[in-house]
Amino acid sequence: MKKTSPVRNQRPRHTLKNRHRFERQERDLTEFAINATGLGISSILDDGTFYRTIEHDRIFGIDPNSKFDLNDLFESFHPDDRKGVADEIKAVLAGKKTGYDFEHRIVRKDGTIRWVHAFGKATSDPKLNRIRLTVGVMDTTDRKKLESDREMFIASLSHDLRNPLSAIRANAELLKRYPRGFKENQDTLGRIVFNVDRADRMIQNMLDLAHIRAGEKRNPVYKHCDLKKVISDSLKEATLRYGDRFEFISRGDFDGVWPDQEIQRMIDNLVENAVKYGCSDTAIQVMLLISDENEDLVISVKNYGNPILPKDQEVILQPFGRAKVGQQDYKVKGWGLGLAIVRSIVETFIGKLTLQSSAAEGTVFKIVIPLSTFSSIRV
Amino acid sequence: MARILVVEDDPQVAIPLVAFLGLMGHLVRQASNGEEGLAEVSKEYPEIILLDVDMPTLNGPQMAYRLLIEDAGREDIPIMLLSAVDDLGSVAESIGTPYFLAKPYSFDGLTTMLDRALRERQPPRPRLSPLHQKIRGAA
Repeated sequence: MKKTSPVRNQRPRHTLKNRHRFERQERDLTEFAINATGLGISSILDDGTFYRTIEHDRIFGIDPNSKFDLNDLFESFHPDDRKGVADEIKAVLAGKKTGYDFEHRIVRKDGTIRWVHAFGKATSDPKLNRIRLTVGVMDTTDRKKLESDREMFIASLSHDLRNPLSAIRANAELLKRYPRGFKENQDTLGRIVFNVDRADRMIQNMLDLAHIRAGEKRNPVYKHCDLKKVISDSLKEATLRYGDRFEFISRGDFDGVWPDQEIQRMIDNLVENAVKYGCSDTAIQVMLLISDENEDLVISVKNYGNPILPKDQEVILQPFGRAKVGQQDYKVKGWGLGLAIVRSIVETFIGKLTLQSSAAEGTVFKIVIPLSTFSSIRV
Repeated sequence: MARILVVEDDPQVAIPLVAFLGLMGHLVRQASNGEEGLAEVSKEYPEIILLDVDMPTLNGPQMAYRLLIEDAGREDIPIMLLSAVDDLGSVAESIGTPYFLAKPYSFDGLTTMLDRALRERQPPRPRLSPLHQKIRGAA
C-alpha cells in the first residue's frame, strides 16, 4: 500500500485556473479600493498605448469603452494649460525627465471645466528599451472652489471692514483737530459709535456664516415687544445710512412675543441687499402682515432695478453667491453672505424665503413663517 | 482753496471727509456714485475729483473712462482715488492717475496727497481698448 504524507493531503489544491481567478479578484479589489479614493490612474507607454481606470474616465468625463489615446488626453487639457502639461508628458516619455506633477484644468466633452492634480512617474525597461509613464489624477475642483471662496471672502472682508474703520478714523480725527460746538461733537461721536456697531454687525455675519457651515442650530432669544417698532427702528437706522427711501407698511397687531434680534437681522440684511443691488432712486418697500388665513407671519422687502435672472435666484441664497446684477460692479461689493444668513434664520423658524424678480414688478424677497412656531413660546 | 468734488457712496465716510475739506477752506460738492458725479462735473468743472472705486450704478473707474470719452476738457481734471479695494495701486494704474490713498487714511496723508495733486494737476489717462484707441485716433 502506497503511503501518502498527511501534510500533502491537507494542502489546498490550487489549479492554474483557480490561481488566475484569485489574482483577478485581487486585482479587481485593488482597483476598487483605488477608485474609492477618487484617484484615477492611467498608464502611458512611449508608443502611445494608453491604459486607464474607471475613475480616470469618470474624472475626464469619457466613456470607458471609447477610444482615448495620448492625443485625446492632450486635447482634453484646457487650452491655456495644454502646451505646458503636454510638453512635460512628452519630455517624460522621451526619457528626458523622470516624472511630473501639475495642477491644471481639463475640459470635458460636455464643455465643463474641472481642475485636476496630475502626477506621473516614469519607469523604464532598459532591455526592452521602453518607457512607461504611470499617472495618478485627482479631481480638485471642489477644493479649488473652496480656496477661491476663501480668498474672495478675505478680500471682501478686508474691503468691507475698512469702510467703517475709515469712517471711525475720519470722525475721530475731526474731533481731535476741530473740537466744535456740543451738537457737532455729539454728531461726530454718534457716527463713531454707529460705525463701531456697523463693523460689529459685519463680524457677527461672519460668525453666523461659520455656524451655518458647521451646521449648528440657532438658539433665538424671545422677548415681549411690538414687531412693528422693531422693524421701524431698523428702518430708521437704514435711513441714517442710506437716506430717506424706505416705505414701511404693516397690517395687523404685532404686540407679542417675538425673536426681535433675529427679525431685526433679517430686515437689516434684506434692506442692505436691496440698497446694494436695487435702483438707487426708487423707494424700498418693507411690508409686515399676517397672512389672510391667519396662519403665517409675512415680511417682504421690495426694490426696483435690474431683475435677478431665474438661474441666479438659487445661487444668491448660498453663501458667497452673487448674481450678475451684483457682479456688474467693478469689484465684489459685500460678501454675499446676507441672503444666506436670512435663509438660515428663516429655516430656524421652519419658514420659507422666496424670491420673485422681474423688470416690471421689481425684486421681492418674502419671508413666510408659520405663527405656530412662535405660539408655544413664553417669556 | 480749491473746488473739490467728492464722489463716495458711503455717507458715513463722505460726511467727515466733506466736513474736513470744508474746514480746510475748500469748496466741496458731493455725489453718491459715478452717474451723479458726472452730473456734478457737467454743472461746474471741479479742480480735482476725490473718487471712490466700488460704488453702485457707475463705479469710480467707469466714471473716469466716461470723463475721458465724453466732452473735451473733462479728461484734464485730476482724479485722486480713495478706496478700500485690494491693490488700489493697480486700479490707479488702470485709470492712469498717480494720486491714490487706501482707506482708512489719515487726514495728514490726505492733505499731503491732495496738496501734491493740486500742485502737479496731472490728468488721468485711462488705459483704452484697441477700439477706443482707434476711435480717439480717428477723432
